[in-house]
Amino acid sequence: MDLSENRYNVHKSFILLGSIRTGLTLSVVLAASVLPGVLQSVFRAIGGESSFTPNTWIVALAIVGGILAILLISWLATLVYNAIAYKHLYYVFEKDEFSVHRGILQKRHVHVPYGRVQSVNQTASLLQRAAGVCTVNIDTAGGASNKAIMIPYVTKEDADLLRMELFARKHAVALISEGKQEEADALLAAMAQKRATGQEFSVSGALLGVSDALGNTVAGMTDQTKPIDNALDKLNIWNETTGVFGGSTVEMEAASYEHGLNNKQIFFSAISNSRSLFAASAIVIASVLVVIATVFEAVPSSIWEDEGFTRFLAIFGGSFASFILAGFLATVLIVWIIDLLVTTLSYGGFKARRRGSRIEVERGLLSHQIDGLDIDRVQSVIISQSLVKRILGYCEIGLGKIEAVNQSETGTNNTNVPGKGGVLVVHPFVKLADVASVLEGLVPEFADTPEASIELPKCAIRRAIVRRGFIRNPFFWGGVFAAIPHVILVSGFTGGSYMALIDNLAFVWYAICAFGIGIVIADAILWAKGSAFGYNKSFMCIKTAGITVKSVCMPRSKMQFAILASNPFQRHAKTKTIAFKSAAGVGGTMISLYDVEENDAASWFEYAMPGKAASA
Amino acid sequence: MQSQLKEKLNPKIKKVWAIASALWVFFMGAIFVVPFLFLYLEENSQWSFILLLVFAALAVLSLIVAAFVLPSIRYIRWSYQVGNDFIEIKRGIWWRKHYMIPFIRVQNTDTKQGPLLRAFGLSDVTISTAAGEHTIPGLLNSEAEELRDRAAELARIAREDV
Repeated sequence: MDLSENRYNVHKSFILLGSIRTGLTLSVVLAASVLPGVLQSVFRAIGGESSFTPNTWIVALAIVGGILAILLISWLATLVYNAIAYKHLYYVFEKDEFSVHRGILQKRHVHVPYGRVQSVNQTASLLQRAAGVCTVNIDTAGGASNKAIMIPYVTKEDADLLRMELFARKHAVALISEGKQEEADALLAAMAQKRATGQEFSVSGALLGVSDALGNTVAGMTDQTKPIDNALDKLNIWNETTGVFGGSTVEMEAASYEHGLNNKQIFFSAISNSRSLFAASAIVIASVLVVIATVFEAVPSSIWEDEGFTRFLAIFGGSFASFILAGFLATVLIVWIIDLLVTTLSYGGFKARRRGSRIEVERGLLSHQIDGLDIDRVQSVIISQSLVKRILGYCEIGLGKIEAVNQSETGTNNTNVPGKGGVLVVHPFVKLADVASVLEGLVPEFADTPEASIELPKCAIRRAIVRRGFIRNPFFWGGVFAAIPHVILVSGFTGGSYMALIDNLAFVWYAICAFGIGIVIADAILWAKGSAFGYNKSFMCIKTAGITVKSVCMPRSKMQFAILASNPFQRHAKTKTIAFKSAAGVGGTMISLYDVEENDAASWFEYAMPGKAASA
Repeated sequence: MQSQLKEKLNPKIKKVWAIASALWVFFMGAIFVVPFLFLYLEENSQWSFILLLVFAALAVLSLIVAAFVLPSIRYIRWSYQVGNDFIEIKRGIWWRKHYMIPFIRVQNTDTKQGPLLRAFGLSDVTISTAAGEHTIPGLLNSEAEELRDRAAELARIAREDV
């Protein structure tokens, strides 16, 4: 087969958009490096410290001009560089494998045998959407040691054709291995024909991109072309418009199940996002510390004459303090609103559907992305409840998936990517009572997961309080390590002028620690009372309770390995830690439960052994 | 006392562990003790001598524990068993861990040998899954190769999708 015939370049927007990114980064770096100097001279000028003669103005202008020139030259250089790189960035459909070539001096070639292609995903940033291009990510079979293959700046049409061709060829490989050479040839011929006709209307790419950016889903080429009567039509590939597909065969089915989010769900997904709560509480803590520091410096010394704890309370009553309180509450609110907006936008257009053996998740109003996951690749079902979701009686459903190590310059990745941490979120906000029906529709294979009904023994509460409340509690140790020097200081110096300040700081710190210990103990008690595990013939589940609740179910056959562990205290209390590792995420995810009753643990371990009768 | 699995490691591994951890403790000890030795030479006072003595004693004590006590206990605690469908490993002194690795999840099995192991004619067998690897240390070279081949064979039979 002639290589050049099946060789494709990415879209030309690679040159411009790529250099815009590089240019922006360069400007930020340059600006940051010269800013201190500029600010210094500006302040000096305002303060009248330096005498500005016309000469200095010329020098200043020369500097600014120089910087701009450097920026312009380096931007042009990246433009030229990208133009050359563009020539060297292409993908080839070879006979047995797909390959991506890139690099000018240091050539990098990535080869994937067609049989190992698992899913072809698309992501598009705002800039890319405006240009009607997207980044294609190809997931391959194999664990975390595999690198994800990324092809940037591919037009929507090319991406669809790329995906179709990959799977057509994957299917052809499967057919050939079954000895059906003619069918495979027919399939490849049909694909070539499809490509020939498909290329004709890729001219309208920009238009499609614009309409896409306006929020209309691309009608796709399928609606515009009359399907040709061939082997491909029997496979129904062309009815596929937005989807992403994978799996061992190319059979394309209509979506058997689909759910989206209504406005309320999107709003609450954003509001109950644990990240936004975390950000909010982090800001609260930071601001409290700032306030305390400020108040201690700013408040006149007369306030120190009060006794210890009243002093500590007094700082929250002062008008100055309440002013600052209002200030940081406003900050929290602003951060929360921004986060809400970002999350809302990222969940906009959310759709999760089941199509044949694949699960597809599509989302994002500004930057759009489509993720596909073959059911065979689903490692676990994760149902998690943040505090807010728990109060409301809702939860989030995610699927655990193997994460490939991304290539360094993914670019479009951000923290909102649902695949982060090996979890594909298939429903961000769903009533607990509706979980079963969602799973039934989306992943019927996971519908008969067992109840986590085997609870922890009574001693788990006591042990949890000791272990989590004290031994493993940073607040406890923070308090202890502050108390030691404090006590030494108090017993050492009795009348130092800084003692009052140190005492006050120490009391504030102790209060924070006591608060932290209280929260952690409450969490520990909830954990011991609510945590449980369960298993049936094909699944095992571990539910870890606490302030937040998370339950992970995985098929027994997907388990990488199981561990039964005990330390001397556990042996004394007749409990054990059970743990199993799934392949989800990068390098696997360990799911463990402390302090399971010894016999329960032993029978679970027995159950986990393959080849033994399940004793559910 | 927990029940043990069928197979034990080669007793020679105790010496390997002892030498390896003795070397490690020696260097760590040297890092802690040498500054105090210099302090004593510099100060030549009673308190610096006591400090030196305390740290030297600690170093010697941990050397003894690491070289003579721990390897034996570790050896007693270590056992493994290769079944038809899975491999089991029991080990650990403080945390006693019992691993069960199904062969359907084993991706590859290797033998490894460092200079110390080579001197004793021993090899490590490493069993890798998609989520981490497990090592059975200190088997005679022939035993290790046999185990590796057997594990690879069982893994091949049990092979499924990832």
